[in-house]
Order: sequence, then C-alpha cells, then structure tokens
Amino acid sequence: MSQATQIDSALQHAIEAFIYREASLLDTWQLEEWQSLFTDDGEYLVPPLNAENPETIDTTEKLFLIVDNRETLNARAERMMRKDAYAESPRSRIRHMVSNVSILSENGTEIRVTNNLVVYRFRRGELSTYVGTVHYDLVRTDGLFKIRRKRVCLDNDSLKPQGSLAIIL
Amino acid sequence: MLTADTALRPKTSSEALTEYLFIDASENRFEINQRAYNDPAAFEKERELIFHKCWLYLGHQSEIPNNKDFVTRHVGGYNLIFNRDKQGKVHAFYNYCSHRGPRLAVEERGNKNVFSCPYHGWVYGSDGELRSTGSTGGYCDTINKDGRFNLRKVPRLDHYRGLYFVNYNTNAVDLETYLADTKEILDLMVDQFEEGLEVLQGEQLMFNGGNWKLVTDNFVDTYHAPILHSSYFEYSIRRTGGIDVSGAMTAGLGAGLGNGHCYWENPLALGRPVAGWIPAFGEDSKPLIEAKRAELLEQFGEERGARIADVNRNMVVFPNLVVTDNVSLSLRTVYPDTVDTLRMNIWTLGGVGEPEQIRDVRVRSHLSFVGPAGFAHPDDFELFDRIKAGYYTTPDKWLDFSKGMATEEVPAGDRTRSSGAWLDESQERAWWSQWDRILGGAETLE
Repeated sequence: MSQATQIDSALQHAIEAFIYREASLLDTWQLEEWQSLFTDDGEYLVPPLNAENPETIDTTEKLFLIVDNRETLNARAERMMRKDAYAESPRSRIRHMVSNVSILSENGTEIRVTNNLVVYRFRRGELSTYVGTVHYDLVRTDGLFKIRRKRVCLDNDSLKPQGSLAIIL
Repeated sequence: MLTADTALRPKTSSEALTEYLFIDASENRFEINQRAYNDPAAFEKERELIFHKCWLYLGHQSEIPNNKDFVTRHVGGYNLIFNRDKQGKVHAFYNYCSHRGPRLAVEERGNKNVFSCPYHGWVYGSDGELRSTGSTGGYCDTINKDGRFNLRKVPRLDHYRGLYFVNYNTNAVDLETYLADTKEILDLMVDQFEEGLEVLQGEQLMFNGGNWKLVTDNFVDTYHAPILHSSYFEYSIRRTGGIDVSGAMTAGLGAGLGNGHCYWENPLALGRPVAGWIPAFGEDSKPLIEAKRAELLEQFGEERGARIADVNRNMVVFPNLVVTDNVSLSLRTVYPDTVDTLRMNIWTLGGVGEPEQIRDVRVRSHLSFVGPAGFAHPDDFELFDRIKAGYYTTPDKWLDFSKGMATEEVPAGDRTRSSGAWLDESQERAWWSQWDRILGGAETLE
C-alpha cells in the first residue's frame, strides 16, 4: 500500500466517524451539540426538489427548501427542541443512514466530502423517507472537523407523502 | 344523522342556507359543522359549484415571459397548459391530446414551438391549432375544419395586473366584478415595484391529510398566530432586535372584501423585505431597503406609501388563492385531491430587476416562516392532521367561529363585507358566508 493510500484511509475513517457522529446527534435530538459542529460562517442548505444542478445551484436562482446561515440553523435547532414546535412535539423517531462516503478533494484543512443519505421518520404510525446525497465542505483545525457547508440534495421528487420537512436531514 | 349535539342547533333559528353552518346573530353564534370539512357530499358540491364556477388563479405573467414559454399546472381539478404562443398571446388549454387523450405536456415548464403527442404523432402549435395528424395519412382534409381537434381552451381566461385567472363556467361574471375589493389589496402588492412583479423560479409544494378549507381558514386566522406559532413569534421579535409589539398586536383589522374574499392587515414591524428593514436582514441591505421605503412614500404619498411599505396583510381571494404580504410576498393555491387530502402550492415574488442583495433577503425571510421546512408552516400542518383526527375519533361536532361577532360591523347585513378587530374572526365569517350562499344555491356567480 502506498503512503498516499494509507493517509487517505486514515482521513476516510476520521471523516466517516465525524459524519456518523453528526447523524447520531440528529437521531438522538442533541441539536445544541449538532449546531456546534458548524463553523461560525456555517451553512445548511436544502436545494429545491427536481433541480437540474442541485450541487451547484445558487440560493437566489430557484427557491430552496432551506437556506440557513449560522444564525438561522442555530435558531432552527433551538426551536425544534421546544415543546411548542408542534410539528415535532411530540417528537418523531428518526434514523439517518449514511453510506458511500467519498472524499472529493482535500488540501489538509479543507475537505470536500459527499455521501448518500436516507432518513426515516416515523410519526403516528406513518413512515416518511427522505433520500439524497449530502455535500459537505469541512474544515479541519487542530485535528477537529467543522462543517462550513452542508448541502442536502434530495432525490425525492415531491414531498408527498411526507407533507413537509420538519426535521433536520 | 342527528346526534344529541346537532339537535342543539335547530335549523329554524339559523340564518345559514345550508345544514353545515349555524348562524344566529341575536345570540352571536356562528358555528360550522365538522361535516363541512369531511362530508363527501359537500366535497362533490364544492367541485361543481365552487371549483367549476369561481375564478381560479392560474399563474403570473412573469412565469411565461417569452413567446412559446409554457407551464403546466393543476387548477380546480384539471391539468392546464398556461402558455404564450409564438405571437405572444396568452392561452390556457386543457392539457391533453385531442386524438386519444393522453397528457400532452409532461414537463412543469419549458419553451416549445409545438406540442407533440408521442402516441400517434399529432402535433399542435403554441396557439393550440392542430398542425399534424401524424405521418401515415388516412384522414380526409376536412377533419379539423371546425377546429374541433385543436387544443381545447378553458372557457374563460383573464388577468388582473398580470395575475391570470381561469373560469370553467362560460357564463361567469367578469373577473374584475368577481374580484370585488381584492383589487385594491392586489394593487398594494403590484405597486411595490415600478418594473413589475415577478415570481421567483421554483415553487414549493406541500401536502396534507386535511381538508383544503383548513388552509383558507388558517391564513386569515390571526387568532392562532401568536399562540400556535409562539416559538416562531419569539424568534421573529428577536430578529427585530427586540421591538415592543404590545401596541401593534391590537392594531389593524380583519374584514370581508365582498364575494367571499377576505383579509387582515396589521402593522407589526417584524420585517418586510420590500421596505421594512430589521437587523436580521443585515446591515448591508439597510440603505437599499430604507431608500425603497422613501421611494414608495414619495411616489404614493405618506398615507398610501406607508400602507404599502409598512403594513402586513394576508388575503384569500375566494375560494383558494392565498396572498401574503409580510415576511415575504407570496401566493399560494390550495386544492383538494380528495375530501381528506390537500395540496398547497407556494410561489414567492419579488421585483423585476431588484438587486441580488435584496433577492437574498427576500429568500431568507420567506424561508424563515414559509414552506415545507419553514419555522411555521409545518406546525400548522401538524394541527390540520390533529383536526382531521378529531373528525373521525370523536362525535360529530360544531366548531366555533364567533370571535368578535358582537362588536363587528356588518354593512347592510352582508356578512361577506363584515369587518372587525385584527385578532377577531370577521374575515373567516365572510369567507364561510359566501361558501354557504354558493352551496345553498343563493349565489351562482353568473
């Protein structure tokens, strides 16, 4: 095995562990901890369904589902923990399934990663499924990863039967 | 079926025309039976008497800016092609091939010189005229001499300041008569932009297992706003830097605008991308938004200018076009798929040619409240689910809509023009009074 491959596999492992941890925080409703994974200029984006170029489309080009900067993603997380956020109170059971984690590029501190994502949401005996790919722009400082941008590109072509998107993907 | 509960509302003392409403002004009672929301018979009547007789919103001119542009859209139970032909004329066609009937345009939008059916190769021009019956011949030359195989046009198509509406009833009253006093409110929206309104690309579509009227109720229901949306409301106030809202909470009004249209207005300064800057919009947008406000006051005078710039409003154009002008300028339509399921389309609007920076403020402000992942809509939809659950798991019941009835004004006894305090329910009663008149046969809309 070449040196380069060994370095990649260590990074691959570290990044997978980071993404699994994020998924676990979301599934267990530790949303205060979840928002702390983002950089101060962090963004959480969900482009419009059926976009031709969801990975690159600009937020003012076509109406997104979510365009959160650090302030609004923080508010989103905080609000969802409240008892009066009724779409998730009582809470759904949710499960994030992460696979196909691929490092697209990295330069030591900035790493671009993509993975496949399936999120199951169970509520009142009904199942909603959200399927897509996630594009992360991560930064690594002092060995710790932070999320500068998380862009979730959904394959769902409508929110029927989900109705809405009240959870964090 | 008469239950003990329904027996408490003898029809003889009700001013309502249908069995679904109970109105007794002498007792300040205005109640709606849950069957108005879940009775398949009511739903069938709505389809026939409301969706096939009222003017229904189709789309905005900015969605088909160029010749040969088209969009396809469900409107009142029919799928339509809304397009501009190669000469620039606007049409609304039923979306099917006149030969054997398959849906003709399957894209949501596009630009096409002709619409072709892949089945047998029939081709139609953007003006709807049949151009070809395929390549194998066998038809006599006169097959379409009366135009019967052209794309079928909806019976009525008209627009008010770029907002296009259709009507499936050939004999319907004209659009402007139908719109009644909503025109003044639509003007307050269109006049925000000298170069005109445009719909931002991309619509949001939400689904729910409730009856469609829960949505029309909800958008003029001011009463629930600070209560159900307490989490959003607190956040909104934080976004302003913590303004005192106590005075504004009791300002404004709710009213009927004639023909079942209804609205509210209120000056809560929670941020309006057009001309009401708040700190959450960011310092760099402040000069632009403040300049826009000054422009509006200059152009329209202090009073009307301030009304356009500062006042929030929601309106329902009967039966189902929801216009909101607050955290964003948006249009929605809500349609039943069945008596117990609804779909809501949401479009947000901005000014033609406005700066990118303002567009960004607009999008972020819209998404904070509106849409499938907004901080408010999912909570409303959750309540619709709970209301529907109540239809089927508790006894038949009457639902109260009487808030403010003792203090409202009802000009000449016409409830479709009643008006009252902002946090009251004159606006809901105006909408339902028209629904009752139509289903009760007193209003034909012709």
